[in-house]
Amino acid sequence: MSNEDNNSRRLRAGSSLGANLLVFLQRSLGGITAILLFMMMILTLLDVFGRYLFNSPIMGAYEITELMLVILIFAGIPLASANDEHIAVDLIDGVMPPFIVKVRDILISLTMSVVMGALSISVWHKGLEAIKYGDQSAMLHVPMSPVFFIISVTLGLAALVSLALAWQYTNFRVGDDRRLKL
Amino acid sequence: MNESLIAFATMLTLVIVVRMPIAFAMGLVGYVGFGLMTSFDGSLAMASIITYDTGMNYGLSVVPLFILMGNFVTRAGLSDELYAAANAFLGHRRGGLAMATVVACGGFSAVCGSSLATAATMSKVALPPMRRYGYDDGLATGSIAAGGTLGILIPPSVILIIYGIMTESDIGLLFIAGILPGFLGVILYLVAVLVAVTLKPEIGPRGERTDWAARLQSLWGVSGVLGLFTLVIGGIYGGIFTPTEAAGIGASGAFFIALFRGRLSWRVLYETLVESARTTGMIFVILIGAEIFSNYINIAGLPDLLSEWVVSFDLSAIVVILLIMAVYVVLGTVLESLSMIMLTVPVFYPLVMGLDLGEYSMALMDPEMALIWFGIIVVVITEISLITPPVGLNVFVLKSMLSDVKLQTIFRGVTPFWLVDIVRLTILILLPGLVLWLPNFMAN
Repeated sequence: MSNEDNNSRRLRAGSSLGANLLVFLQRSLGGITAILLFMMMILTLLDVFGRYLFNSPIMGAYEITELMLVILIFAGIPLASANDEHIAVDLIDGVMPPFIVKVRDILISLTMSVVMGALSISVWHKGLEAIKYGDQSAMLHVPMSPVFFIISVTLGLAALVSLALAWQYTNFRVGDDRRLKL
Repeated sequence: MNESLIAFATMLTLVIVVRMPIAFAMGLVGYVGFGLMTSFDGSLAMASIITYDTGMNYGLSVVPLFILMGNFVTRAGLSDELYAAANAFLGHRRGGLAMATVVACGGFSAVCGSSLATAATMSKVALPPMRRYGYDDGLATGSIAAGGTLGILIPPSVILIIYGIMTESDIGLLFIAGILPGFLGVILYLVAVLVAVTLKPEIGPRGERTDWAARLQSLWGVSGVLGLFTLVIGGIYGGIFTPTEAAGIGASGAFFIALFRGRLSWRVLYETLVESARTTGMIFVILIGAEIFSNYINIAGLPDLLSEWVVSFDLSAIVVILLIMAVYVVLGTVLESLSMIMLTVPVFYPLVMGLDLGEYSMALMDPEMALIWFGIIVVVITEISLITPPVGLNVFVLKSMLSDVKLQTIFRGVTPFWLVDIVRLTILILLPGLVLWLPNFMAN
């Protein structure tokens, strides 16, 4: 327990601005995803009711759901990263020397950060292209570029979370929680 | 032709030895492999197109909504009533509390799509009474760990949804196909309890007998579960809603049940929603990684290579299926359910589609139905892997709830259930018509 406390205290003291930023981001993303998912549920319900009871499905519900889904998914990714929810196979951790586990965890977090970062940049360019060509959604004519920018930003946040985790793992002890401590 | 095999081996090494999350191992290997064949710029462009395309697809909103439904159901406390009702009918028999556990797990699986959630939720309800009546720890934990595996077979099922997405199969047909094998699973688990307590009567003492008035009253308690299942799965079967709509309706229904039972504070509601969103994000990262990987192995020709082997060894279709099952048994010892499906389905499903399964069974003449059948047997074998040592995840769920019970005790308790699971798998492989009976009704 005291290890964890020390860790989080060090993390806080070391980069209180960064930690505050992460807390803020995590809460905002949590709020956004909660509202989107709830709306998606209600929208589907109303759409079906509308179709069967009043013979009038909600105009564009299909596309609204699609847009909500994409934001929901990508906002969920940094949250999953911060919670260490990406499925990994814990098979030989018990027999590995703690030092190797530590180095490995740092390297893997850095790799994940690079992967997310590269995708973030690549999708950002796609967003710029979408502005240039004026891409719009088929039914509601929503401009597509903001969608790409949102995906890019959330992937960028996931890259940041993995980076913060790599930093946190420098103080990792066996049995510590792998989640991001805030 | 060999590089795709090297890629597969590299990816497994990253997952098992390096403990890289499976989504990233698949994505990285797919990216590097594709980059080596074409260019790394092109490969990054391919990866980013897959990334945003995977997210923008109406049909995939079925994933977060069914996850949400399962999470609301878990919070709603429906497990208590399910267990109470099953216990009212079965509890007075020898081993009756374990039988009630199995039936209640089956019932919970009908509204929840996750095996781990089913095992975790039911253990909170079913363990205390079994311990109170002096049940053997092995039988008590084994019945929950095994009963919980039904979560991914009895619809709704997150794993079947993922399989449907990856193979472009009809999720509705997959759900309906899961019903009979799931029911068979419940029956066989009851047989397993019966055999276990017949061999050793002391492991499962009788509980109290409940009179018929109380029994009928207990049924009222499960009306919520029954109604929700009938609405969601009945709606899909009757063609009233698409699976996506059914997911929205199921989640709403579970929300209102939890709300009216007073189980939802603002905080719990918020946590349930965010938890579902996180799980959705996690699943989509794996889906994206798996797409990048399967894109590469398809271009590198792994499915063709496997098909060539089948031809060169002159293997009949059913032998190929049995070989695939053998691979699953081996992988199942180290991988958990979602990883196993994601890693293997991209490799195997093109192969299965190319097999002439019609010569094995008339029921499999239609390649679309053959894929539905294959999905069900893959899920059943995945269920078995959840209770197979050394990495049976459901067993670990039970272990984490009971620190005083040894892991070996739970694995010993699970053994009779494991054995009847093998019987079930054999039946489902021998009788594809049983799996496809309900889906054929629905399709016509």
